[in-house]
Amino acid sequence: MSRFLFITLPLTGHVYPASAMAQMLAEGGHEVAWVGSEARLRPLIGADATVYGTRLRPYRGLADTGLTSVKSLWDDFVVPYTRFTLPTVEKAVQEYRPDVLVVDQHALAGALVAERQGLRWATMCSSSMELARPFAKLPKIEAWIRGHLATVWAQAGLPDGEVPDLRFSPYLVVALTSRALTGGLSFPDHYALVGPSLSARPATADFPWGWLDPGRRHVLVTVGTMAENNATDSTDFYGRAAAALAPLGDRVQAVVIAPPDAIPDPPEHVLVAPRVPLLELMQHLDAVVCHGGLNTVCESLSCGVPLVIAPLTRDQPINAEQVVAAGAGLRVSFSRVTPDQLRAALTTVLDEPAYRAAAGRVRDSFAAAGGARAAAQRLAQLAAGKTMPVPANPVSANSAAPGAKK
Amino acid sequence: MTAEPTRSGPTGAGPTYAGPDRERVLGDLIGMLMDVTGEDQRWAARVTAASRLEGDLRLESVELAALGELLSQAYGDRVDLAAYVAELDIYQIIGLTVGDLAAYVCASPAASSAGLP
Repeated sequence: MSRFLFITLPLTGHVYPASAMAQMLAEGGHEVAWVGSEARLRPLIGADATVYGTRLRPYRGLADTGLTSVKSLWDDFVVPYTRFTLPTVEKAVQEYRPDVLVVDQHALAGALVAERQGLRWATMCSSSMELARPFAKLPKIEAWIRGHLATVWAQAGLPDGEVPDLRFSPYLVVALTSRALTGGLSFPDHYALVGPSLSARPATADFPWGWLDPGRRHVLVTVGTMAENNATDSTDFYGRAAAALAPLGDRVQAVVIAPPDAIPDPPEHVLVAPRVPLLELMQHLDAVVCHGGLNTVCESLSCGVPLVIAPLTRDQPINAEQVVAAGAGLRVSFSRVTPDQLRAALTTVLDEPAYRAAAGRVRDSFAAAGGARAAAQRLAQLAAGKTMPVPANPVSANSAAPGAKK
Repeated sequence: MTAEPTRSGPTGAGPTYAGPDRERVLGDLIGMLMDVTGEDQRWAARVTAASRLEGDLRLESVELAALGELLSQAYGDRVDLAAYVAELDIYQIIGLTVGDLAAYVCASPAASSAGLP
């Protein structure tokens, strides 16, 4: 039996996959505790979980795009969040005495405390943001991020010298994707590409199942809470999506996840709902139109459902590129796609069996990758001491010794 | 024939280039931006030298890559947009304007000799 301390971000899409791994660990007889905002965590992980509560820092740059989003992520979220969660992670480690810290890729306080105390730690990548190394050809951006890592390293009182890349554990990197999506990218052996980490979470919303007409194809349109401001205010994505769907009523029924006023007076074949039981609904779908967040992409593909992706920001363009390369969907421009273009992309994905077949291949690769169960196995191996750090990502000499206290 | 443009750089207070090429390059660039975005004349009419690629035009990475190809085709291989952007820091890329690209093209030795389309 080992103890695992999960250090999370206050984002549903990051907590759900971690929670699925935690469930698997618990089933294997291990113990789990959490560091994060209690208000955000409790509804997702349950009332009985042990939580070392931190303040909540909302990420206000969600609507930013391009490098503006990279700048706001690091300047306004990662660095301050790391600073104010650090004391709580310290306290949790002292009281709970975990064998392994499971650290969200951007919850760097977990990496800092583990390095300082010489504890084993794993990175959990619930986005493709860092994994695909999007800035390999922009050396000054990569250096700018490295500068932020050096800043939090120094702020944590860690010694001068070579600062390890805190985004990637030298012990274990659990990535919620699979090689069917990452294509030509190659990763070291301590990267476990486990596919999506889904759990049988309780349905959180009702759905009028009787409304679904078996004689028509079924499409889900979701651009996520992150993109809603962009969708409704500046670019009217919902309006364009509604216009794209309008003439398809004889053959398509569409569920649009949005506030009711996003599409006023929807036609008979369009259902607008702020929340739906996504995983259950996915079983009935023929295509998903989305912004390309890794969770939605992987939830669709894990059911073999092909995609039309209108990427907006962060890892979404990377995910869209990977889905297109895998043949499991099409990419359109979020801000520019016209209703005609969106309808053409959607009917192509619905009508050409190759997309569904490719989505099925990705689904099979996810199943082979093992999901939350495989992640839990790798974490348990790490806790049992069967995993040595990889020297390619050097840790600072005076913090690497197990049990060393600063 | 080619006046040396004054380069203010991506973080400059505003493009103040002179010379006969600059206006023509700017016009070419706006045409190429229409091509890579699929936008129309109405959109193009609002694009100026001061328009930021990221914040104002919402140019996506695939569109920027396509623009780079069009620039190389028009002005020769020594106009290498990817290499130019690779030298910029995060603030410079966020602030990068259409005028900055025009200045880069004008300053490139290949641009004047390659002959404009």
